[in-house]
Amino acid sequence: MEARRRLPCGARCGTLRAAGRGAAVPGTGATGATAGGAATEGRRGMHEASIAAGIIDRLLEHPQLAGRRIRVVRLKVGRLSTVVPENLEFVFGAIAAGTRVEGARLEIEVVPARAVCLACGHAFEIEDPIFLCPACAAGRLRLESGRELSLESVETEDQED
Amino acid sequence: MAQIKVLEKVLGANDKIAADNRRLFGERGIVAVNVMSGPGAGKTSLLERILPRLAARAPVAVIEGDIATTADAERIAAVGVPVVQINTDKLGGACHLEALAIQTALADLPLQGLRWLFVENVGNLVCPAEFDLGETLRVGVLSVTEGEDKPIKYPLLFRQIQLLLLNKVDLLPHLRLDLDRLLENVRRVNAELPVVRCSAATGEGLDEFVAWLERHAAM
Repeated sequence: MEARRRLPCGARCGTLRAAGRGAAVPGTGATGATAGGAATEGRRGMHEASIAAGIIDRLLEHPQLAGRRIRVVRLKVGRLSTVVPENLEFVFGAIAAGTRVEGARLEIEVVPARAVCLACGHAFEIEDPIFLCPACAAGRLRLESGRELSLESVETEDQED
Repeated sequence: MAQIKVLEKVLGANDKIAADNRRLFGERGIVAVNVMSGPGAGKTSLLERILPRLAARAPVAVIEGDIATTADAERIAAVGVPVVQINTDKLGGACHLEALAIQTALADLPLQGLRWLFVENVGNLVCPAEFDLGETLRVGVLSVTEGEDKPIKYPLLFRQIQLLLLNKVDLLPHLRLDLDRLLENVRRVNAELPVVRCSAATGEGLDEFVAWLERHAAM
């Protein structure tokens, strides 16, 4: 089965394992994959890389998309998510290389952060990082949107093979 | 071109493993505490102080997440607590821990009878907040040397945590920190977040932290 180059999505566990009062002993080092990851090497420290890898995995594993080249990928990203759309686009292209997703365009819909005040019922959009009701200043809110991080739809090349 | 609806959570795979971790913690009666902060806020120092106290009453273990080195795990091992170091330096997502890394690390820890599992996340105020590990409790650490504005610069993390440890308060007399403004910024992003003022250096506030843990573990 086709797959993107494997991202090491586990960590290098067990490089140190210590028990009780004893000195640290080397672990097996065999847990968690460390191979591959060339696409993201050099961009470490960017969490968008693991998010992009997650998107590409979902696409490659999706039964309805089997065998199809993917041209456009539509995502929803909430304002409160930690994803920076430009960073995501940057790593997405690199990680998609060599797969059916290579060259696909990301269309990112940024979803506003909306909340309802649990004290007075006022509904409002959070534009600054201030999570207080603008009507009554209460801080107990229910977030209605803004944490989204979802795949919505894709456009594929027409091909029946 | 053909449009095809997909409708999947991007972090669905992580969330699924996190749910497995959470189920395992629940079944075994393990309280897993995800400790998050920026680099140098004092996560390891705080753990060094409270682990022996908790370990005197119930078994404790630690998972240390760092981009590189085993320095923190060695410090934890020195207080006599089982520890697994996760180094993320070979990863694309080096800046945070994900649920799979926790699941993998659990294989190296003595889970039998374990009560407390502390996960010291990678020092970073951004993305650790985005990734569910399956933890029971989320604790943030902010040191008073980091200024007044961190909560409003990194709102997601300050909204995700259930307790904020305001560390290094012993240094307050030497700083020009506007403590009221810092606390107001915490309130602006998470009005109900309890704040414990503490110092890993002097031990101040640690009774309160341990009491909070024990209260929430029982819930």
